[in-house]
Amino acid sequence: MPKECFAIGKRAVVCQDTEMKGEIDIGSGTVLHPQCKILAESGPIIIGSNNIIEENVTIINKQPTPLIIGDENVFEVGCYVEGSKIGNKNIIEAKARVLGNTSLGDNCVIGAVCSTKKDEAIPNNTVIYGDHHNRRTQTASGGVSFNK
Amino acid sequence: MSQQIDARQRSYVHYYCPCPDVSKSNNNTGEDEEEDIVESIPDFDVNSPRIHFSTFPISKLYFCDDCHQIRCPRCVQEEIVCYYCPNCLFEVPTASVKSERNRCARNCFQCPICQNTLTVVASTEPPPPQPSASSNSSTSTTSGAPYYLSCGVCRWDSQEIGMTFEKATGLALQLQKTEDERPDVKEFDHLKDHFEKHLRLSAPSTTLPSSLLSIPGISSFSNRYGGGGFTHPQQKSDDVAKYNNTIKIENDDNLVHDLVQLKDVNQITTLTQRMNQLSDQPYKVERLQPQRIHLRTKRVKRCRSCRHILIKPEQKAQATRFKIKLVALNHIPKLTITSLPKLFLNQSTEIILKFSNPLYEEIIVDLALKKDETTETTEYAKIKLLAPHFNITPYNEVWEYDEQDFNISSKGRPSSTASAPKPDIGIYERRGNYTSVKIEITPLAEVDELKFPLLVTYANKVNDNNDNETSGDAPANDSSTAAETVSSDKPNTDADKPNTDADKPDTDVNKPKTDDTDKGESTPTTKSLFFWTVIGLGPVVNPATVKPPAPTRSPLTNNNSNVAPTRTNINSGKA
Repeated sequence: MPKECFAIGKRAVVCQDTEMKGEIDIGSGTVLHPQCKILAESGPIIIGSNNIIEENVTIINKQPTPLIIGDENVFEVGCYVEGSKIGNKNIIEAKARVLGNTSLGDNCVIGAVCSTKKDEAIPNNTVIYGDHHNRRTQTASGGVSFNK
Repeated sequence: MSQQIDARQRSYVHYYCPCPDVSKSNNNTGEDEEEDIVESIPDFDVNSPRIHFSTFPISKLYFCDDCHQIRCPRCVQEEIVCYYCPNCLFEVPTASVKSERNRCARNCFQCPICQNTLTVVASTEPPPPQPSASSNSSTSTTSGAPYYLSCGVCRWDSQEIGMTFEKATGLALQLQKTEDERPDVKEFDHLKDHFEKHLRLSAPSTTLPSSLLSIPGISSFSNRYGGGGFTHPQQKSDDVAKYNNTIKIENDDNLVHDLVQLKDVNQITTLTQRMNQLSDQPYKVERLQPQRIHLRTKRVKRCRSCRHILIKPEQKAQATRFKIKLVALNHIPKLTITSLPKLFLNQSTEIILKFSNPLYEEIIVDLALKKDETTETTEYAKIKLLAPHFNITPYNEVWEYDEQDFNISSKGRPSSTASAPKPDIGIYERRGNYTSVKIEITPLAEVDELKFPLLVTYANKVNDNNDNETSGDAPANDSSTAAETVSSDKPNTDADKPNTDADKPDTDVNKPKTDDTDKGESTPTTKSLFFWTVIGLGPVVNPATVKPPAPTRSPLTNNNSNVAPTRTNINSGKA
């Protein structure tokens, strides 16, 4: 059983109703909304700074290697993240799923209800969207700033 | 588990609209009617291909009060009320619809990649690093000089193709110039100029009602038959000079060269993307441009036989209500499958069908599988209706607000409000305004989809005796009701045949009807209607070949809920 240990940075907001297990490191300025679950079951989870983790998000690490999440990501409501590494400035939209050993680059968008495959390395600036949830295209890097 | 969800998703109850049936009883009159009508109920063939386009879920059906018939989307007549843009909800006046080619003239564009609506975005400058707040915010909101379009779904933006705008409004006008420069538009304008004087010389078009203007080509149609008969056909062809193309489009040889060298299929446009840009239908993704959004229409729907309005929406684009809303959901019983266990070959299962009554009067329902029978054996299944005759209590709005149990009678006990105190065999439950009945099914063949037809006849008493309304159709379906003893008033049954113009409701009352021993007691008239339904039950599985379910769920099925690892809710919110 991993020991329970939370290191929470300054100006981070962790709401009371969250469920956190295992070794978790939360960077500064990150906001965890109520009802989210950060479960570092087999290995630690290291969350960077200025992330927004909305309600009902499940971030789970089932591998012994640490799950590193970068800065300025947005995890929208209801998503499920199980990858191995998440870069910066990504947007994982509502009810999206990042599965298995997938690693996400920077500035990606996983559209609503879309999911990745189990063992992929998704390059930077990828957008996954659509009904058949595997259409990908590249954005121009830069694009829209963090205006949400 | 997912298979169970699949079976439920594939189960349905569809209603059949008989509009494609031309019934033989149209021309019969008098006493012969009785025998002919009985034969003329067509046997419903569930496997005929017409089922695919003649059956509809009840949500798509309308109901004509005058004809007392179901109307489907295929047999209603439509007239256009207004044109509006689905994005900005602007009502476009009918005159400018044609000139704008049925598209929105304002800022509404469609993403060329994913066909969703584009939003106008100001390109903001990144805020300077000093922490002074007020000046930052003002500069970032007002500096939107180069505006561009951006898609929220696929994150495409028009900067990728170099399309930017000076102002945030009137984008269509700004694009007008580039649109007019397109070769196909220029060529079309030349053609129009060339033929215009000949168009003016030919007979003027007859004035048409505006509702018909929506049909393209109708003015030329009226030309041909209204005024064209008088002009000399020779005269027309003599005047038209030969037309020379003015625009030359050169062959794009580079395109073939580029296509041959492609390595990634994502660089080619999909068929949908090409079909949305009909002017040049490019192969390369870079040449796709945002198109203006198509306008939509609000339409009035009429019954095709009596011209009664069934649906009349409000004129305003934002209003979603209807002035007149005669939908089938409010008039005929709604059938739903409430319990559908897995169907195994040669195993007898019971499904439960729920009939709910939307009317304010009690109705009496008769079920049949063929004309007369309540059990049937086909090569696919053996079906037995356990409750072929029952009533459903009326709808009462109070029940919507009433949280407590408003059981009229439960599971087998006879209800006090029912007029027929029959033993309730086969009735699963009676509550509120619905009754659930059991049907026993034994599948005999392993099919992908087991479906069977069900003939539903219902009759309700109407207490107004001013109009002898029996909807003008010759009676039918007496075979199924005559076979059962009905303790309430016998219904004046109506056939489900299209109401011809010759038949008027009044004349039918005078014709001798079958089974009409209740002609004396006519003060509460009964209205009745029958309709066929197709009940689809999903797949039939052979229990011998069923594999044991896999222990872990595949994570790629994203219709399952999120995996919740453990249920222990250790609320550890310590800082």
